[in-house]
Amino acid sequence: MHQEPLRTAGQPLATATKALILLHGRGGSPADILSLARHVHVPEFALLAPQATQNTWYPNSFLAPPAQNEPWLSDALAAVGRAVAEAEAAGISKENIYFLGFSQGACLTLEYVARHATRYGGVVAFTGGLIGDHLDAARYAGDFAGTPIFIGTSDPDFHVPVERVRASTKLLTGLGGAVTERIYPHMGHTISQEEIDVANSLIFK
Amino acid sequence: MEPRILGLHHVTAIAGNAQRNHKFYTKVLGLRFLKKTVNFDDPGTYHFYFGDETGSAGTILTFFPWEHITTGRRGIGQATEIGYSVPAGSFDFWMQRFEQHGVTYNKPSEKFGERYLTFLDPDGLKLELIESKTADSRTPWTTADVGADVATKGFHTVTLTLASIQPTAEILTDVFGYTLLEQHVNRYRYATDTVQGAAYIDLVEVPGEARSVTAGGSVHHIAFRVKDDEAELYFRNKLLEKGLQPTPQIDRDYFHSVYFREPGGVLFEIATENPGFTVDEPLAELGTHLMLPKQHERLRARLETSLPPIG
Repeated sequence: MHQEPLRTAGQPLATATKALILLHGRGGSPADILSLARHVHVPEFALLAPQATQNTWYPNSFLAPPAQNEPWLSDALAAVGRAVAEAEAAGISKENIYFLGFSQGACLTLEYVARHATRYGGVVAFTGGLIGDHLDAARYAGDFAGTPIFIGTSDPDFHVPVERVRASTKLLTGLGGAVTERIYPHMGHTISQEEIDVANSLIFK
Repeated sequence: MEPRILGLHHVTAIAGNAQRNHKFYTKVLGLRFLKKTVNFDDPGTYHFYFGDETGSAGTILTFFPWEHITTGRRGIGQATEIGYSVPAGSFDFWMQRFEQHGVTYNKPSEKFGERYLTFLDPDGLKLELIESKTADSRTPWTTADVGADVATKGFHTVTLTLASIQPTAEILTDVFGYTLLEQHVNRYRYATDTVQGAAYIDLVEVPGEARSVTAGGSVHHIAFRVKDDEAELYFRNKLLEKGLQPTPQIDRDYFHSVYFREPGGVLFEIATENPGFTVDEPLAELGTHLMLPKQHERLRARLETSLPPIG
């Protein structure tokens, strides 16, 4: 599915020492999520934004059984993997690779890093949780070794139940992530300035 | 000499139940099971390869079986039919076999002066057996039930359904060196003269048709064959010059791949002949072991118990 070109911005990959992989939401685009990067403190980063075919990473809710989101889901994870590989090929190590996603892109962000847990620079999920009708710990492997992870979400959120956010935090913590979870009452399905500020103070410092 | 595209390399489609998929292609259709590996991007599921004895390019059909996957829909922007070359006079055998195994099929028909027999696999994937009017001397894989007089020899044609054929046709002709061979109503046959089998791509233009949904029973992508890495990078450059955006070269263990979405919406791949399927298993043992790419080898103990048994 998602063999679309990777959009880049920020510092050239060849000379950057850090990379931020940005994953857009359902119906969004690399341009949308790259515009968000202006608000986080990443002036020295190469910015890599994979694109979903027809702007959707997978067709059904992230709470559906994973098979119902195939083959899109596997292809979406592969697209993230290719962005990681591209950064690594340019000499940027995983400790200097960061992730940021919104909504469907946040779910994909968390799912990718949990399946490939290792010491990353940091992970920001604006409204999202791990993917599946239930969380199967056997799916995830590795050790985050203290990677800072921020999940911000609204209570309630029409798409992302708070219980799933809490369960995701627990699982990511179990994999060695230093997870900060913030639940904002009645924020709506959006990204708030407060979340941006938290991301800047915890992840992009 | 400039590198050439050597017809099709493989076709990758999506299945539901793994055991049912394996049984259909090995037992009913009589293909060789070439490789039991996992989806590199989702190692909890299989990736199956079926083809001739060695897994020659142009014979390889691969599947991602996802249990409980939703069913796709044939339509615009998709490879909608996969045609296998079979010996003339084999249709009676095949129709009888399809009856025996409860396979859905149509009565034989004809296009471009060749008889063909359409049938569906258990997930609804549309396949054809085609009596090629040109010579096809490829040696088929045979089984106890499916002898050389009836066995499939590899691909003949893959059909793409498109809203407009022009942009896709330009990729085939200007980049891949195919030529328009024949046209009948809204079906256009493109051919390469570089290989004897798997040399045709049919483009069918149906502007009013609904867009396809790629899921169970549909083709995920089609791969074109090149000799080696050098040829692959040559075509990657040509695609870049044409304003397309191919991926970097990706190592798929059995071949090296570059993907791009052609303007009609179908996912195309260019795949190398090297290193082939014997890179991790001897020829006689192809398909008998669970082969894992090195990045997933650490999961072996878990996968050996969690993946459904096949056979």
